Amino acid sequence: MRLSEIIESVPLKVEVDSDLEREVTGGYIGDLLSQVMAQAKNGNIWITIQGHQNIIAVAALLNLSGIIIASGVAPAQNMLEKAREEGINIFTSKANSYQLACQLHSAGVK
Amino acid sequence: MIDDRDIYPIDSPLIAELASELKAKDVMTYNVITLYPQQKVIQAKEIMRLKKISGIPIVDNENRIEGIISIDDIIHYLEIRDLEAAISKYMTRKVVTVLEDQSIIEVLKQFKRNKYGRFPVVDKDRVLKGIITPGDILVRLLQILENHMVQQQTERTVRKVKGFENDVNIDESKAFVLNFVIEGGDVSQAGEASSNLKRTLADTGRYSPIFLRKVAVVSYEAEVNVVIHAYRGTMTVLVTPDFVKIIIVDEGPGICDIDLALEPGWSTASEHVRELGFGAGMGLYNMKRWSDELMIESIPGEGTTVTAIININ
Repeated sequence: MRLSEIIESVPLKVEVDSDLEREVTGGYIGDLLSQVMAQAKNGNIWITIQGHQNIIAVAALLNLSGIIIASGVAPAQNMLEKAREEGINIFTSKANSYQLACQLHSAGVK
Repeated sequence: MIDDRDIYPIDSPLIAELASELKAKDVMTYNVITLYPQQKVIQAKEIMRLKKISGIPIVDNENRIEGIISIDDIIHYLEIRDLEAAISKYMTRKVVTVLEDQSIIEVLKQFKRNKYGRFPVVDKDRVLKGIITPGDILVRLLQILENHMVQQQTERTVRKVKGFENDVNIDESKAFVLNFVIEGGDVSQAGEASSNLKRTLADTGRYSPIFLRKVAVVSYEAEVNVVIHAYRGTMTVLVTPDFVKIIIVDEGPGICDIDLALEPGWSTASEHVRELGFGAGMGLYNMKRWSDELMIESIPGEGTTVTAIININ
């Protein structure tokens, strides 16, 4: 399933559009970066409440399809700039991590 | 003067061990001022005043202990104004002595039982060998403790966490080296070096996604450790046809207890970096899990070197 298909049914605000045609291989929720490094897989979409620039390195290293910053956390400007440089897709949402996971699941991300 | 509360109880296992291994002769003062019983008390008083000592052992011609004269005895003598008296008249004859081979713990117990400020140290024939005070013991124990701490600080610990059982021969003509500098303390840059490393390797198109992921996790965690804990560091990556060897050397506080640091969830990171999602205590644990070989060397107070090998196949 592609990111472009997901955003048709899940209300996500696109903050950085690097490549919305990327395939999403599943999802991971986590706010501890080492935990994400250990668990998230290639192509996963990552739901987190961290909105600072350190999340970009994690997403780039793991080749994640995108990051959703949940619970209405404001994305840091330098993070968004870095996401553009690194080609990472960034979304924000008012919904919390659990609600987002449910919405993604309903949309077809298994 | 040291009272009982300073000496007991002995809580530190190190001190307790030292106290049972150390002997009176290791701690005592050797050059003891002595007098003979027939000498005058006024001489004893003058020596005590000039040398600032509070007791003088009294010996016979063969240096065997006959008695001891202390400040208390001198006070007694001054009260009576017995100016010409010989020491033998005022000295304490029931002298508590300790043997030169007696352990310090026993000597300390003697000090607790008897309220004397010093004990003459004798051999089995009661020949005087030295003198010992609680202060002598304290100074010696402190010295040993200090040396021990200095040694501990500079001691290099090497822990082969995983593998590193055999030396690996490297065909240098087929290997290349990548170098990265890691600035300590600059959390905003955390992940730069490992991202560059991964990109460089990925761009060759030669490596599998799973191998790249291992390299990414190991180098990222090592880099984050330097950023969070150290002042500065370098990451050197040796790329060979069979494996990559990642060596991260930092100048930093080092790791006091490597086994503890390897425990998942153990972290000494600050509250500030924890709020950013670092310091989960998973770093070394992740490195152990995702590398094929891992070795940690550390000198507390100087720095840490982490070497990881990831096999290509």
